[in-house]
Amino acid sequence: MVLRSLAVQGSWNYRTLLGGGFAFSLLPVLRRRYRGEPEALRAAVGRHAEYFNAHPYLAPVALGAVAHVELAGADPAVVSRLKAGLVSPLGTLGDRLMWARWRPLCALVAIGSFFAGLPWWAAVALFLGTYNALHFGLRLWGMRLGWLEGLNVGRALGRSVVRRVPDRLTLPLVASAAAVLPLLAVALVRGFELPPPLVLGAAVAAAGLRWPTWVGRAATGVIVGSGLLGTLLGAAQ
Amino acid sequence: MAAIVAGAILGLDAISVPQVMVSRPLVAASLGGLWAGNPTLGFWVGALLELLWMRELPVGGARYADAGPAAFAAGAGYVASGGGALALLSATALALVAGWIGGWSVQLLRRWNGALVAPLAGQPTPPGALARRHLAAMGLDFGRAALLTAVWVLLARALVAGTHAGGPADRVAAAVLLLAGAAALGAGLRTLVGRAAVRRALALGAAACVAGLWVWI
Repeated sequence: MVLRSLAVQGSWNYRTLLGGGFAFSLLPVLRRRYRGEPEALRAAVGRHAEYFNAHPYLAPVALGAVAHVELAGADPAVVSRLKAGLVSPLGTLGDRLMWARWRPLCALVAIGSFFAGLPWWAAVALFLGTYNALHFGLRLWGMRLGWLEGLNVGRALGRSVVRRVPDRLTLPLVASAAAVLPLLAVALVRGFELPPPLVLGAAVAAAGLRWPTWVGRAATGVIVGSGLLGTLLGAAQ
Repeated sequence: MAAIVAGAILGLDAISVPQVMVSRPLVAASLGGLWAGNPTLGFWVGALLELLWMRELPVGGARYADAGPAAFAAGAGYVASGGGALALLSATALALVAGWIGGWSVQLLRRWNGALVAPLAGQPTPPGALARRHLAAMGLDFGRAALLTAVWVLLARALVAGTHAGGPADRVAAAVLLLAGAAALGAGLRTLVGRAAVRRALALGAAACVAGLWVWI
């Protein structure tokens, strides 16, 4: 079921979100639970293909808990309430932990290591190794937690140390960004003979002025505009 | 053919399976560079794209850049150009546009997935039927990413590989990349972290690093 959960977003859609993937991941359990009851099995597959959402790495928490209560013979309405109650906490926790902290942190550490002299393959391996250590750890931990706690998984999730991890990653994330910026700036200044004060300009551009979020979009627009112009000019030469 | 299969796997990784982040630009652009003969140059493109796309979070039904195929092609195109800041800017710009179009294609795929899988919800469904439709949805994603990779690689070869400059144009391009990349990093962190104390910490940390590096330069 852990392996199947890797494909839990395989049929993500705007109507049932993870529903199809959840039912697909749960199929081995449902086949065991409803062995010799084909009608009940079909009904259960359809029931679990209904709307469900979670962060994909934390979906195993719900899968483990649902497997536990399904095999215990719980009423379908109870199972549905359990799933509905897990949607919000699993989504919020996973987004904060993995997308907003761990992934950018791992990427910044890898980028900084590259500009500090690590070869490309080592930087890529560093990124994939550190990122996926937590990724797969989280999947296995979640499946175990759900399986052991069953209907009490929500309470267990609320008590778990994982909830406090995102806040503890904030400072390392900011510190790694502060280290990557000058490393990147120096690499560009040295590589393309730019005037050294641009390093300071980069620091101001990155951090000094409490940018609103539209600045990120504006920066992207500047690169797209000047890049397309540069492509035309460069090709014309 | 190897490039198309690689790009398709990178596209599949982002959402469908297995989300181990080989689809991130850092990895995808390096692989594109490796395919074209110089993964170190590819990593440069990936590093810049990573900073520019840092604030894009793949949450819920949001549309976000389809990074894998776009970064793979940009890395390959930059290597084919032989290097230089203008080509780096050109490759980055191409990847940003390609990623945006790729994001739109993902939205289209999700509508198709809805037609494929959603009708089973709440209906008595044989397990085999659900599994077949789920796997078909992943097959569609694979095909989508393969097609996009082929198009982006051809475009990168046509546009980025021919971008040669040197001199002032290269320096202007490098300055644009540096300042815009730095601004994107700052804005990205605000999106991710979003607290005044953290922004002050970042400002102090960056200033301290810059002061040390200035002396070093």
